[in-house]
Amino acid sequence: MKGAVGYWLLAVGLGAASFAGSELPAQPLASEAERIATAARITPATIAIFEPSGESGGSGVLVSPEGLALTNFHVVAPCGAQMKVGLPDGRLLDAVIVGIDPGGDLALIKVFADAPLPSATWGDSDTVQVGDEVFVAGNPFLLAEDFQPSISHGILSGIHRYQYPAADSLLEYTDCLQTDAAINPGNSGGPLYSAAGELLGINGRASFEKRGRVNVGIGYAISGRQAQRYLSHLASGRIVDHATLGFTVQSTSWRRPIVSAVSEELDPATDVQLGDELLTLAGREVVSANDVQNIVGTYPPGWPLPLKVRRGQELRETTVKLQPAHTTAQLAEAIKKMTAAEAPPGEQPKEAKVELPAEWFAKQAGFANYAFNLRERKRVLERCEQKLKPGSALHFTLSEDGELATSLKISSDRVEYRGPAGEFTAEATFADRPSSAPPSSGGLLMALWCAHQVLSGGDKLDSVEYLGELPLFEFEGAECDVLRAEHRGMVAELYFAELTGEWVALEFSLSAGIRPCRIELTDFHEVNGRQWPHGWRDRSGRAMDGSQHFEHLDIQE
Amino acid sequence: MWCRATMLLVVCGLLASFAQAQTNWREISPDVGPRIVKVYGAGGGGGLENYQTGFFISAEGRVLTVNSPVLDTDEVTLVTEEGNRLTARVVRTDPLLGLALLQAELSGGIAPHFELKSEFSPAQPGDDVFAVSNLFNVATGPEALSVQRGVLAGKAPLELVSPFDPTVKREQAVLLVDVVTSNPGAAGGVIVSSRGELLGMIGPERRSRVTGAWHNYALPTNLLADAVTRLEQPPVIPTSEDSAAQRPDAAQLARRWGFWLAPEISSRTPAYIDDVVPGSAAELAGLQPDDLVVFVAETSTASVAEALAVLTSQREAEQMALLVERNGELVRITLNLTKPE
Repeated sequence: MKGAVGYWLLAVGLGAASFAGSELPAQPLASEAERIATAARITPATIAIFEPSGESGGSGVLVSPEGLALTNFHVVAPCGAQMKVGLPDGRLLDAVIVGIDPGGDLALIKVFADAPLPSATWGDSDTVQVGDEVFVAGNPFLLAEDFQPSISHGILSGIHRYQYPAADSLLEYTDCLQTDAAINPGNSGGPLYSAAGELLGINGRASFEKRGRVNVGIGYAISGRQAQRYLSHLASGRIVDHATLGFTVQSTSWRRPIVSAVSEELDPATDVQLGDELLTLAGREVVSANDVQNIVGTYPPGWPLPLKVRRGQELRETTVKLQPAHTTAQLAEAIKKMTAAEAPPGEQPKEAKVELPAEWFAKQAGFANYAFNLRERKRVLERCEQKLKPGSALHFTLSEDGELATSLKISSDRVEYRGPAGEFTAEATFADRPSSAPPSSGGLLMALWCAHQVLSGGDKLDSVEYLGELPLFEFEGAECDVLRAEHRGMVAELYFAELTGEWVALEFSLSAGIRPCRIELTDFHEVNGRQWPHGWRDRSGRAMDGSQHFEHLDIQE
Repeated sequence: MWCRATMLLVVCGLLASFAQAQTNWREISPDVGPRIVKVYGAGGGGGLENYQTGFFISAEGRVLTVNSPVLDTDEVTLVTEEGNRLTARVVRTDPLLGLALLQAELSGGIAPHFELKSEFSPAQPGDDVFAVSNLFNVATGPEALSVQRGVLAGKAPLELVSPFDPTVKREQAVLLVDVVTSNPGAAGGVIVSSRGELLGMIGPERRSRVTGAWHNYALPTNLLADAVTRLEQPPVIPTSEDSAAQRPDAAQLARRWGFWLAPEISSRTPAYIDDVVPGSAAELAGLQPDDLVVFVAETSTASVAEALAVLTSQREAEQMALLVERNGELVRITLNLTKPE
């Protein structure tokens, strides 16, 4: 009996020894090695963000070698325009705000470094499933003096989660990821990674209750897909808004939501009526009003979403271009409230003291940092082959049977059209209303004038700004850089192919509520050593003839 | 040789449990998910949640959940992960464990359900587990409940004190987990093994009276199975006006048997002994105030109403066998009106 006990103890001793040695089963060792490798992979791009005085802070993740980093709006709200960033290699660097998305709780900052910085690799947050292993990296409780991120590990507890806005706040988490990996105060803005070390989301929120603000196994991350869609919009330096469909839906007990109100902002090209039953949106089935908001919240305004409705016995498919949910003034007011809420009690949020050259920071209403919009505009135009010298004029012609059949002249002052449809002129200077010629085109000539102004850097437009990237007219369309021009109620959006930089499409609205003119540019041929479009295809179902083609283009520069 | 065999077994056990460390929720979720429901009822204001969790335990739509103010309504709504909404009503409640048995109105078909096993959980401390619940009501609509991963931390006796009814106390061997399960709405959720077997039900929120810490625990299936067996015994509840009139009132009980039951505040008030008359049969038999009457004459009694019903049916009896719960132990007491000569 005694012998047996002795042997048993010995056996336990041996067991312990073998744990310390190399005789462990291969699988746990492999799993551990994988975790260690993942932790090492996700560490370099994870940053700690501090308000300049060091009083508050959070986390972030570098997403470009140029030092662009994503974080939460609520992390940078107390910082003003400038912040300090701690890198895992121990460096403490300066950073400036680039763009903010107060509704989706995202912000983009630029970290200043003299060499390229490590950046995270994006994963696909659309294909994740509940139960997937995930890692959280960040700076909980501002713990790390040396900026080495804390890593926690868990699973996805839920996907497509909706978290209601807090009172007095725009902040709403739509279609977010839920994890049981520890997310604590200070983790905000930091990355959520897959087991392979790919970026799946931006952590930002957790459910807390009786224990106070410590993790109880329920944290939320903004999905990587949403962050990716917003990234270029944030890089525009703008205060980025969230979107509205332009109509509202109401949940019903017979499952499918019903269109209950249609607002003036609805894209006039969208075929939706009061009482329609909404079946799918953006390719996803919807069964409640919450489902709809859960989808809409993840797309920036301007995104075209396909939808399917049932009207009576009829199934209809249409596309809606998302509209901004707020005015610039409403956004500014909401930010003021939210920033005050983030400030320590009793303290007024500090007015940003900025010690940066104008090339890195500029103030402008509607922008978090106007300097970045100027940079992006310059970038888009510089790589575009269709960029024009100021004052240039374009003359497109088409001959039939040896005679001039169609002529289109575009200059800084006017656009003149002569062809089978008639003779029309749109003047740059007009008294009351801009020309809507040719008839039922939605103002194609004014649209071309606006585009000419943008491409030639003209000074006649009220404003030109870089918007971000949007798909070309269709949900699955190639993403394009978009420059947006506004002039006396007119809005022109120029689409530039992301890959080639070419100007590929134009969308134009004479005024709100009027069906827009949408054309895709075609027939690219070389003129003066550069590729120029010689025609267009109508994408709004209303421009002249549906398409137009020219033989010849003369550019006077 | 025997020891060597044991040793090998231990190593094998380790291998198996490490192999499960790879999360396999994807594999078991199609099976486990549909068996669990979000439960919605009364509450929603003044810091009271109106939601909790439950799960099917029979194909006919029996649902087990915790007894709480959420159920203080005629009908509760169950929402499946598919978003199907079912109406359910409370069948009976169990004051011992704070459970409630519900019956869902199934619109045809059978409910995917867990079989309650009457053995104590075979899972061992260190085994991987998943906790599935409607914590914080995160999953409102047609969406899966929240899943947390952890390990079974231990099996230990826990004195269960209900915040709903602080007088209910009972020490039971429960499953402790390293996952935070004591969250609003999580009670009534499940702890399953990495193979999807039901190990226990997340109990009502309770905290240690010693440390103040919130317990993360589950009531193991054997306790649940016992309770359900108890609850499924047809209760003798007089429903007609007649029998209600025949029910002894408190004073009659006190005169005949020498005890007072707790005032019947609601239809689910547990059958506590409020007071014992000195020198009465009750006192002679050892009945004490705060005893919880769980059986009267071999019939389980979940409430004052049920206890009264059984006492009515036995009103001519000279002897009355009671099973009461006192400080976590069951005590058998026989009241005898025939005084020994």
